[in-house]
Amino acid sequence: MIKEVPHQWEPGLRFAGGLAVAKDGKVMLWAMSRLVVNNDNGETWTRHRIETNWDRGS
Amino acid sequence: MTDLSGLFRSRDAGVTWRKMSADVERGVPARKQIISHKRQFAIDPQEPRLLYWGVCGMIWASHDGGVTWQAVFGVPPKVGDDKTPQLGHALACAADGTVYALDHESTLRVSRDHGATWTELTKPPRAKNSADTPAFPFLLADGTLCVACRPSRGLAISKDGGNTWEMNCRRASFSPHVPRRRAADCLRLIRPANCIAASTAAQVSR
Repeated sequence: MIKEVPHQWEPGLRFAGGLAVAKDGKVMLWAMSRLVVNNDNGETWTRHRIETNWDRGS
Repeated sequence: MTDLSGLFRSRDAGVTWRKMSADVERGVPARKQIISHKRQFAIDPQEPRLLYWGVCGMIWASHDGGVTWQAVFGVPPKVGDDKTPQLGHALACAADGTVYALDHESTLRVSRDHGATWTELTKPPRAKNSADTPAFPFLLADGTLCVACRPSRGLAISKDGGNTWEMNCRRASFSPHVPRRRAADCLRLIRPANCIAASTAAQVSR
């Protein structure tokens, strides 16, 4: 195991989180509104906050 | 995806985000109805600019990567209808672009023209729906259509595109094609030799 984040999942509940990988190899793990990003094959993780890093778009 | 309302896109694996749901918010005055989970969002695997979002009892489609959205099924909740958010449509998009949508009453619909028209299919058996574990459709690599019928046991399986169904309650029957959700909620390939997995316990392994 290379990373664990807080969660409230238990059998029978939907897991409210996810994992995504960008073309350049960045990995994003999200659970319970906590978002961490990795760019070195799982060695180090940086926390990001969507609440402070978004724009309104169109 | 977050306490922030709406749909957001990141092009840098989550570092920065852009809101992509302005059209939907303009079209749904009952804003509290705009809630969803990841099974209510689908991307065409061959044409990734085609996006589908099943939210507030409607189905929305975007043909430009989420920049603009059009309501392709359903009508918006009435103004003030914010007390009981609806279970939205759970979506799945097949390799050929066919879109399947399962509503909160377990009615399954299909669109073969990128959301322009929808046809009702045979209702999958025992697909009870709940807010905690909503049923959802998905497709196997060979095109077999399945509906996970949680909290019912087993899978509803259709080999003819949703016209007829059978139940399969054997736990390991689909293990070669479908990862066991408790063991690995999602698997992603980073490079050919590296596989990374996130479990339902929010642990990442490689």
